[in-house]
Amino acid sequence: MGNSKLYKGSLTTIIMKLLAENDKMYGYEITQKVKKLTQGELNITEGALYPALHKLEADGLLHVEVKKVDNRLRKYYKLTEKGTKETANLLTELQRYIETMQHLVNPKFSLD
Amino acid sequence: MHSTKLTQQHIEHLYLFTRQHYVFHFDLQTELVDHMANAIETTWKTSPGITFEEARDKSFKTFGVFGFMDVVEKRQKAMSKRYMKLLWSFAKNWFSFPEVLKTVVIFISTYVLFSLNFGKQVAIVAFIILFASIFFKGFKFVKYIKNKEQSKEKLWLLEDLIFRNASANAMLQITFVLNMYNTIENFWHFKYAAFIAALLFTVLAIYSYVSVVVLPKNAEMLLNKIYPEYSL
Repeated sequence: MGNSKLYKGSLTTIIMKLLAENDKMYGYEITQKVKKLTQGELNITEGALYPALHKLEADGLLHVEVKKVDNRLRKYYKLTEKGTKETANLLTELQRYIETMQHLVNPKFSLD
Repeated sequence: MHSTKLTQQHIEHLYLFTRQHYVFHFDLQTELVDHMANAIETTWKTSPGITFEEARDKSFKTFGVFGFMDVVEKRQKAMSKRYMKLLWSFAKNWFSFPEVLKTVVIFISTYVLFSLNFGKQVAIVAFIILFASIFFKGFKFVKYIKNKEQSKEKLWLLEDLIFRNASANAMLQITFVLNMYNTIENFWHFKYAAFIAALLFTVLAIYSYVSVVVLPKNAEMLLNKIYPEYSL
């Protein structure tokens, strides 16, 4: 997709928003949700999603839990307190960005 | 028709598959194995005729043309950042009360010794003793990691970083000693030579102590803290 660059910059925000809504999620679940949410517009590979998760974990924004499910271990990601605050900041920033873009794309002309 | 759930043998095969694709650390292997297992089970639900190998390859393709390489590389970068944070969290004790008193004592005593008439020789001996002591420890750690790799025991990325960095540190300092030996003659004419050498000795001693002694000693506790699956 030609516009995947636009989405890539927001990948972190998308992941954190998902986690804010779902409490805890595992890697495969996140990748599938991100793909569904961006409806194929974002042609992103698993090779890009895991690094984003690991970076957030190293920065202390995500916390991990591991559980044995069926016959394997599953790693769950959860927002830390710092992560929850950061999600709110990122979303405000994104909202502001969208508004600016909207003004740029659809300028409203007025006489004053 | 097969079941839509993976067996224990399938899981073991997937661990082997990640290893064959250059994922050597158990923590990342585990995450990728669970990912692929989920992908395979989802494929089997929608297309029951597909074999395990076909479903596995389909899932592997979703990682892009470089396979797991990108994930491995970025994971290493992220974990190195955590390693540096851990190193600093232990090292900073040496700069706060009461440990800072020890730091000051090391600095002042080396400064006094290095300022003597034969201070240059004292400095050379002091640095050689420091490096020799970490070199032997570092050498032991390389063997420890190599043994673990060869016997295909679980190796955790943070564990690898802790022990490998400790030994890399020792190797790096050997080159430093050799360089120092060649340049100290000119350097010692410099007015603040003893002061700089004492400062360098203090900082290097703390850095070496934390990376070669403290971190490896606390490795077990740190691995338990960073990896919830460590004790499972």
